[in-house]
Amino acid sequence: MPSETESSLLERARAGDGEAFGRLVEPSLGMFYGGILRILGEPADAQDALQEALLTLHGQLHRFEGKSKFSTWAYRVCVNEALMFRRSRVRRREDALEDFLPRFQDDGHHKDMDTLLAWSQEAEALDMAQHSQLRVKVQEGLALLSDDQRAVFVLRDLEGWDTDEVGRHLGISRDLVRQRLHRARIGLRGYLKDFAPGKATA
Amino acid sequence: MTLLLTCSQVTDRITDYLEGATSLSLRWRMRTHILVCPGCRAFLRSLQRLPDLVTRALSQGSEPPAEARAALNGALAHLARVGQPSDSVANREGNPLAGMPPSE
Repeated sequence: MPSETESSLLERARAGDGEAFGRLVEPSLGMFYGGILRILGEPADAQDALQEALLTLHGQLHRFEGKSKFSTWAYRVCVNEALMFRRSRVRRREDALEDFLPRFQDDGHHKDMDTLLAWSQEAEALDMAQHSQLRVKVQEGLALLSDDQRAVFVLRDLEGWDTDEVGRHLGISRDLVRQRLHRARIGLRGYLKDFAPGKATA
Repeated sequence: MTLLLTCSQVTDRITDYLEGATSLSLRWRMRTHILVCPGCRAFLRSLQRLPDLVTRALSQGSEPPAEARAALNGALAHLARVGQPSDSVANREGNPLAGMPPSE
């Protein structure tokens, strides 16, 4: 159930009031942008895609029936737009993860014990400087994935879509979803493993 | 594959394991390995923790970044130029959501 102000803003926006539309989307703007940026990886692309998404959203306002929260519905439109945008641009097909895949001894056992787990459990307590180091590190890690891997990882692990849904949207089989998800998770995990919060710029 | 799996074999199939996409017998052998192997247990738990960690790392403050504001301003300027909402989408070439209504 939308709040009183939200529904009156909706009504005015549907009638063509641009200012009302701006106020309607403004509270969720950061969330929309964040979702698009995770899929596209490039701030400039994300800005273009968000602008397109907002125009699409504006044109589709009459389809919103109030069954879900407006921001939830609108976020979904933004993610769709990012996926469309992704199809139209030059793709990065290969990842750059080779150095970050797990290493094993000759007998097939793990070479080193895991450090990611230890520090990630403390991640709630990171201060602002450490948090921004972590953000940079995660963004770097995502950038090492191929576009296809990043899309699968973001939709499956960050957006929480199920495997079938991801496959349908990207036009690939479930096996391929799992394959790309695996490479993305393993690679990203490996990239973050050696990160020591607070020590990166010390 | 022999009955006893190595860590490397477990790692190779760990996503299939988490997604429930292995045969029952492989699932059982992986589970046994993970039970007795601290390295693989830590590896598995770190993978399970990854989505939350990445989400938290990327979470923005309450202020939307400059790019997001610029996109909104661009969209509003476009709407001011073209006028009515019913025209704006139809007039743009290749409307990406044509025939693809978002589900609620």
